[in-house]
Amino acid sequence: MSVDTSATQVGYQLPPVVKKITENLLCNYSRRYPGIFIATIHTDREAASNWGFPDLVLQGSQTMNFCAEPLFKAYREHWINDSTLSVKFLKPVFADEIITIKGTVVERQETAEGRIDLKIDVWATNTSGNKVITGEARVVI
Amino acid sequence: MNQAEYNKQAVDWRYIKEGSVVATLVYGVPLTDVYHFAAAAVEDPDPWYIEDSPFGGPVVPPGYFYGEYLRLLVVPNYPMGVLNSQLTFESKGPIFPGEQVTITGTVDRLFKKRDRPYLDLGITITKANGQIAGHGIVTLLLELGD
Repeated sequence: MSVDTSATQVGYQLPPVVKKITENLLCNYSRRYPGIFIATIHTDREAASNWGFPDLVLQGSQTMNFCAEPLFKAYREHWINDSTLSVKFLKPVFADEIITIKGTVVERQETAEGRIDLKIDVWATNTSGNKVITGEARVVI
Repeated sequence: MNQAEYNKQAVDWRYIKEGSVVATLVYGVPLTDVYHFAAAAVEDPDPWYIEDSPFGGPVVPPGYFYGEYLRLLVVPNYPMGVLNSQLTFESKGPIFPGEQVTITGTVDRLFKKRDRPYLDLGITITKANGQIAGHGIVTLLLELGD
């Protein structure tokens, strides 16, 4: 399967991914982990409130999964074979928020082996338009 | 038990040694768990995850392993921390449902930032043939402080 050549050009914008953070979505992810037995800020409102959060908090690794989705859709087997995603969490995301994940190719280099090494800026914004996560991906094609 | 109570009874982070192995998990990812993960936990039921792919069968989403640090931390009763501030993951090839993988967690770094303690936990995914299929680092805020 070949990648759309436009997706390998600097300035290419990944098709945005929008996620509605329902309580079900939060719990379907976070109850996979020790949250089954431990009431975490991701699965239990009282636990979230104990740390001053107004609602259930989206787990960072779940947010990162959402950031990976448009990258996988664009780069397919290359995303599986040789890629890196690195993100920083800027603000917590709460239940019932909607987040939008976007990305732009910012750098393209040809390697000595004739492959293409892409650097892609990725970020997510919440309903208010504030950035909640920012990061950088690398994929070799 | 809630998260704060768990952290309170957990090993004091000051006794955790840099460079030490946190835990090792060995398992095969069940296909049914891949279905649940893709369809319900991240809402991305891509056909490559649940039907077939050019790799020869469905593949486990690389993101399946992003959260494995939590399973590792609870093995030696280490604190889960409060939040993760940073996460990096490198994917080096397909992992198939049912294939045996070894997940190893290591304490890469313990440090303080603005007087708050953080832990860099390294995660390495190794296949039965010794090939490294993925590597990650998660930075955890261990305590909120006063």
